Amino acid sequence: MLSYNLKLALQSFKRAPSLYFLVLLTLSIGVGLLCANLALVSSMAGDPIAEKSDTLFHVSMNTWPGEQPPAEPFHLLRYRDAMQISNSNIAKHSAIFYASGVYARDAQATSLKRFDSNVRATTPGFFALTKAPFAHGSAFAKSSGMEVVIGDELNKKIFAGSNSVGKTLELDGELLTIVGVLKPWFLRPLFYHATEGRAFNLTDDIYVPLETAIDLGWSNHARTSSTVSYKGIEFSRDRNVFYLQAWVQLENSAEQQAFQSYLDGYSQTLQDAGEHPHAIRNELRDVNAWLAQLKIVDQKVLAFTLASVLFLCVCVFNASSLLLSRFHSAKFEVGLRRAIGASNKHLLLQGLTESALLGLIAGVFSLLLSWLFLKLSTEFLPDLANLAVLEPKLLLLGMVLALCTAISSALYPLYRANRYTISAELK
Amino acid sequence: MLIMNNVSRIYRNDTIQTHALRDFSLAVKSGEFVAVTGPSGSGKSTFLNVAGLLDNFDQGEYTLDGVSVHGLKDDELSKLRNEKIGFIFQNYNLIPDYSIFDNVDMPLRYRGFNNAERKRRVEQALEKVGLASRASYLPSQLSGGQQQRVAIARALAGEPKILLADEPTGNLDSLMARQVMELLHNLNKEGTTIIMVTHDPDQAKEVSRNVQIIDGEISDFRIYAPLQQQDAEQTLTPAKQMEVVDA
Amino acid sequence: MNLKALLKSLLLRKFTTGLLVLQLAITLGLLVNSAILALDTREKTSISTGLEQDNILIVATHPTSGSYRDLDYHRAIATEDMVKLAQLPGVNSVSVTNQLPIRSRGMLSTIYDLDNPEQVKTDKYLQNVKYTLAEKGMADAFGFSLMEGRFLNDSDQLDFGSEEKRNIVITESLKRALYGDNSAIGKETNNGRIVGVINDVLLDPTIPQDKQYGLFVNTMMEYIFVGRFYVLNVEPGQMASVRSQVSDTILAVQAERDIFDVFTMAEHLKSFYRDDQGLADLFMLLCALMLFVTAISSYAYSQFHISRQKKFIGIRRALGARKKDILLYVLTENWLVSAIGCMLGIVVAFGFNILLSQHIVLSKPDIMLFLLTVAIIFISGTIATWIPANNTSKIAPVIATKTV
Repeated sequence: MLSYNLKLALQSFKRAPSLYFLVLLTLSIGVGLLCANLALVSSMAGDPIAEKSDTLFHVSMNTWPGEQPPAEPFHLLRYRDAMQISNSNIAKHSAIFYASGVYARDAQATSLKRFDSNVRATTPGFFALTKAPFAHGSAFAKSSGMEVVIGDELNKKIFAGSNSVGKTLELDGELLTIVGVLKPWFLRPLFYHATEGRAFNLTDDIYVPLETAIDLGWSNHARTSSTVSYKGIEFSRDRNVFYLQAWVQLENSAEQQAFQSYLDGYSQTLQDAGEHPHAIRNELRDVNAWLAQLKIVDQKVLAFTLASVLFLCVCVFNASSLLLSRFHSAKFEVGLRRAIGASNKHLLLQGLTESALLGLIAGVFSLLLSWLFLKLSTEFLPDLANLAVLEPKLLLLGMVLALCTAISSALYPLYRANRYTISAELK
Repeated sequence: MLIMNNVSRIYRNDTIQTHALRDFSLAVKSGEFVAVTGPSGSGKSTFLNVAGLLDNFDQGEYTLDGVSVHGLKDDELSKLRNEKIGFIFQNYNLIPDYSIFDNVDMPLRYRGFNNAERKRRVEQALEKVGLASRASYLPSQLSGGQQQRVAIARALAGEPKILLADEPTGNLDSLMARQVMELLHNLNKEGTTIIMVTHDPDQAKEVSRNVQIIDGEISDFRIYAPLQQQDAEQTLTPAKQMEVVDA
Repeated sequence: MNLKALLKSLLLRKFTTGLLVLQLAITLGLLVNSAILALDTREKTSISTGLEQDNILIVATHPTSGSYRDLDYHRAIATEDMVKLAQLPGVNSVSVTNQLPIRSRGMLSTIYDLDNPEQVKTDKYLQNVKYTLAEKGMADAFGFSLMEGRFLNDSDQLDFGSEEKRNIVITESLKRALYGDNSAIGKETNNGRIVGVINDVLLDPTIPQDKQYGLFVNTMMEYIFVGRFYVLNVEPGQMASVRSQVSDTILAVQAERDIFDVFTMAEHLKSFYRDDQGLADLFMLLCALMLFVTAISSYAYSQFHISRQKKFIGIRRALGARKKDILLYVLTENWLVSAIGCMLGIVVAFGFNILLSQHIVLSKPDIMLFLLTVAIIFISGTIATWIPANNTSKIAPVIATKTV
């Protein structure tokens, strides 16, 4: 019966090709557009490290010594607070870092061409905490030393993707040795540095030990707040310069509580010494809570998603009215089939087969279109470029959406078609 | 009132051509009640369509109320239909979405009458067919006979020169059919010219003249003699035609 | 045309009419809000910046070599860059700075008069005042006009590392915030002594126009490593030729530099609103698609309805309707549906506007926009209905006598 119904559906498409083409077109544009937007939203609202996102915590502290505290959520720490976190043995892993940038070249190369590279100056715990995937070599073991780990893209640019462990890079005039090379690494969003509008940046090109970067005076490229003036980052360790971010990995709520009281205890000693003018507020937020706090989902994309939901409604209404006219013009045939014994159920099944087939074809088209719309929306909103990815679950969603819209468009027309009386049509 | 001279209507398709009307000539005087009969497929529908300016013809001449129809533009034909002809169809042809009032009112709108005039005429026409109290009903709420009376009211409201009725009782039972026929006879007595296509020989007998069509030609005249060929040839201008016929 | 009867007959096909009305309403809602977005963006980008934006060229650059870590070397190169740039025909003056106007945040500082430190509590904008590193050429390069006192000169550039009080220049709105209508010259702030007040320029478009607080300090040469931008004031008409030469001029002085971008201040303003423009364009695109789909629906609606009405159209023709009466009849039907759709659309437009303002900033709809978009809906509906309407008017009246 299914193959017979499919055959009938194909015949029906052939009989009114332009009408079915219009139905297909509107449904696939509507679904494609919504799907493209949902792809962006899901990239933005996704959990970048689902397997352990509930054990990774961002640390906020309000140790600001000035009168007017900076805006919440106090995500920047000064060196001495950050070291307090780093020195704790409660957390399985901890990462203290800031973002910088240097120009990089292979020290052995004859060319003087240097590549603009994003730098993560960090304690070594970063790699285990974020599960950075290594292709060659390993992480550096200490917070100091002239060693670096580089990302896949930079490795491709400078070393054509080969195993560059042991090679030396010239970074702003300094020579550092590569100890590790990462595999292609995508984090959407870039949870470890989601502030300052960086949530959708790519992972970094160069990872350098924190103390090394500070000693070399590699300036902070994200936000710095300070109550004092200072000459450069190399002078920041014992001053009230707030520029570091901290993450810790805490396996259970006991560890969480222990860590919380560890921080609070530290703040209390500051307060007792008169160095903590504000009420103590040390906050631990896991990955998803932290990203939610930062409201990183692009509001413009959300606004456009709303519009594309409305558009899909219009498309469904359109398809529905087109199908209604199609079924109406086929009512003679329906009457005939009823007269020779097809039950209402048969006809309903036939209609549903037809619209399901329509939905599947529309699904395929809409996936193509959503890819196209993604490209187009990154034309209009270039910041989204790193997010424009169609993941398998989105492809599936697109198909399901197309199927649902096609069937729901056909529901009322089918209901109407099945109410045509036999005698009226065959008179 | 209505003169057809050697009117032919030919339907063609790729292989055959059919003479639905062949050298058809007929003159109807003002105040007559003419019944047109004939077997099905004889051409009586074609005659009615041509007479009612719904269909064009291929040869011959046709003059309606002094106006030669040949070569008139579509808009002019519409105007003639609207002003001079009242139609009564076998299946009433009321617009089901419209109330009785709006149905009768519809042709008057195309006539361009103002609101008051239209209202007066609609009410008068409905009064005449005895349905004034049903003005706000929908056609589906009325019986077949009542619907046909609405159709007659619609035809009358424009005060046409001639009523064309196509099997007006074809879909009605005998009681209702009699009521409708009585209405038509009364209208005729009041002076309305009527041409009625029917297959009911009894109805045909009641009227002032009976014309039978077979194979697109007039085969039988009763009461009046056929129009002479020379007469037709003499009548070149509509005015002259009028004289000849109404003399 | 019998509107009342037409309306009644529309009510008899509630479903199809309802679908079309909803589509029209949604389309109107989207059109209105897209137009608002487009107009808002246009208003933003046409705002007065206080700068001759078409005559200011910016070169964004950064050294790539470690030699620049020697700040004396860096200063020498920067100085030579500026001399060479100033020699280009058509260049009026050149300066270097750490940050540009028309940008949100950046390098900020708190400012208050030393005699009145409580000011920062009453005016929160005083906590985040744009702190721009300058040198003597900046006023000419940006074309600042002086309201009071003088701009920074060489005498304001202290010895590097000096802890002495600095001289500063502030913007007019900052002067008003600190001193009202009184003169600011000679007044002492936490950031230094005020020697001059310049006109307001659009430093940060995200804050109110009367809060464009900015302060300028002659420390650019001291902190030359943050001097990312060369600012060139260009003779009108010379922009293209200057623009084509700047990169080579700088690289000829010293090649180990990354030149990210060369752009005019006008382009800088545009790129600040690039995302707003992008969103407005996306909405426009969606509008076009939606109009297209709704036009298909209008077409299908008329076509479908007429295919069921052939007989009645024939009757109308038989009873004296002219072709144009029928044309008008079909079009009127579309207009009536459009009118109902537009009325509902007003509600949708306001609803959608409220929904959107949860996510983005946009103005409220006004009557002119409604009129404009209603006109668009009617025109597109009329075009879409024209073909079926025209075909319908060709229905032969003879169909009335056929017993179908």
